[in-house]
Amino acid sequence: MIPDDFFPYLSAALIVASLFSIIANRIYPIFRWAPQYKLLFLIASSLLALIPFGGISAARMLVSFNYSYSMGLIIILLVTVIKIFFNVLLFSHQDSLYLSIFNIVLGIILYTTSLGFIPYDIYYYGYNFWPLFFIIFVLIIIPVFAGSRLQWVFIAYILGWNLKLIPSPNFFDYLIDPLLFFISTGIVVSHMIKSARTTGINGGT
Amino acid sequence: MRFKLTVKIVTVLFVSFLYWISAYSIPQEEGRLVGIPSIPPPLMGGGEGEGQKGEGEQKGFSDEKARYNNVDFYKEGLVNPGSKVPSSHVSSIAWLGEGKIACVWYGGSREGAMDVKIYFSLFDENTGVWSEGNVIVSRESSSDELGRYVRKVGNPVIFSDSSDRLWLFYVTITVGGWSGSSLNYKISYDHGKTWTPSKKLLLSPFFNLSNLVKNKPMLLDGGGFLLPIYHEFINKYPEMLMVIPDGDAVQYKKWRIGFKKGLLQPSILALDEKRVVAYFRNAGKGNKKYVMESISNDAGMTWSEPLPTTLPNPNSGLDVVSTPEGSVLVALNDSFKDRSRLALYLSKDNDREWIKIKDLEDTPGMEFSYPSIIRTPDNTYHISYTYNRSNIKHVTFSDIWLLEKLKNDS
Repeated sequence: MIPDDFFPYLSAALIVASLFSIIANRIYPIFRWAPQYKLLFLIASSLLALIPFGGISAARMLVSFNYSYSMGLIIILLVTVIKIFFNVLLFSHQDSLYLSIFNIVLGIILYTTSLGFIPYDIYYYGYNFWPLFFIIFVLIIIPVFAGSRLQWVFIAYILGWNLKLIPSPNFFDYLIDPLLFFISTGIVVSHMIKSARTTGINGGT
Repeated sequence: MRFKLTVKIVTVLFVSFLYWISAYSIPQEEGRLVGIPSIPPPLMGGGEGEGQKGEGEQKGFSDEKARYNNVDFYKEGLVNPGSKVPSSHVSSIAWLGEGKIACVWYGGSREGAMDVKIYFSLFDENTGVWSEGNVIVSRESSSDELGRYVRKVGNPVIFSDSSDRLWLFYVTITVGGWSGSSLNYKISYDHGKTWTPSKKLLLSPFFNLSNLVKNKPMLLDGGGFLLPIYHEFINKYPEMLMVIPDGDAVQYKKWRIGFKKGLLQPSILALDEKRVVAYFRNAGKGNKKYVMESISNDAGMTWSEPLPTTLPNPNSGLDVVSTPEGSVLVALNDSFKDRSRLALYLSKDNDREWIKIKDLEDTPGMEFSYPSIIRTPDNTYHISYTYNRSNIKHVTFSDIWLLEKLKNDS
């Protein structure tokens, strides 16, 4: 039995560790560090999340603002950390983009309905097996035969659900959270800007 | 090539296996969850005789005591007369059995202040005295128990379930005002002497924002209950939370009561095994607002389009309870403009015609609001409400008093 708060706090520690890693990587690429320094850095930055500053730790603050983070966010953060630490790209740029678009579409539908902009209760379907699990099944099968690694993301969602990693009875909470939605939006927007620049440069030559 | 195909087939088989497990890991108690409301919810003060008699006997009410209470009486007094805090608001009242009534409310320097705490007091029907309110939740205790930063607490709701557990639901806020609330609960197995640590419910995909509670639930057979809740971040709308206890933990699911905006703080009542009526505080637009009403014919799962009743509502909370004859008794501010008058109304056979029973309060310039009403198996009604924001008032009267009032009025 996994304690209710294990995954939310693990997610919060990973968010902080990822932030530190991104900053440190800007200063000097981490994948060039000696393995023991990498490990030390990862542990230290994760622990920093749990140490209270001014009476409250960063992890506690993060889980206070959002009760629990999604599996999707953890996967994105793990992919980022692995890329920074080992220079290994688990997902292609294309895969990251597809996943981000999926997250944005899902987030827009979920948040607009749950905040009452659209008169439909999509979130309720997260408590039931049909039709949400069927959609995810399709999203697993397509990458399996397309040879994309995205299948593992969706399999992780189902696996996480079965292990009850997140203290929520709603499957939507495994798929997305607001932080993942904003990160995904950032990824897509940055891709669009880069594409526009590339097009501009190519157009100019 | 053959290896890759084998890997793909194995993956699909693995996924199918996961799905098979998933299908069973989703709460299978649809039959339990979509339960039938107790007829009428006996602990919640509902209706007809047989169920209540049984419950009364179960809870230790002798026929003699029931007869003793079958007299024409109307009493009133303060729950917290010597309150040490300047502001008290949002009370909730519950019957515990054996002549004990519990009341919770929040108090502090003002509504929404960081020093607000949730108080608990017990009323002994034999002595007619409320115990001194003791703090059961503060923002500090809640923060420690939840492992999260809590800026303020509020809106407590208390009730007993069919297993004699006493439940406390209340809201916590991390940032912002009431619309940033999330819902938490505690359970007491000894009528409020000790409580389990608070647990939070994840009810909204957007930062778990805006889940509030005001009124008592409707019990379901099988041990669960339907708790009316509401959302008020950006848009306001009523919701239903179904809770199935599982030890100290709970299984739960939430859905919306229709899609009409501007409705808050639903108060629900079982009319029969399947039919449920909900009344809403009207926070919509316009100067003349009325209490809205919606009906469910499938035990609260789906709801009719909310329609206005003839009861005025100045964007203020209300609560309902059923009488043994099946009438609906409502306590509310029957005004279009303010909360200076609090009254009791009754509707026979849910015919949408309301008879005024009594003005509980009527003093211009003062505020009387947020009533909570129950009916106990000893044929007594209890109402608690905010008395001018400084205290919580308790009004109690008997079935006989109510019948006499109706007789005299007719």
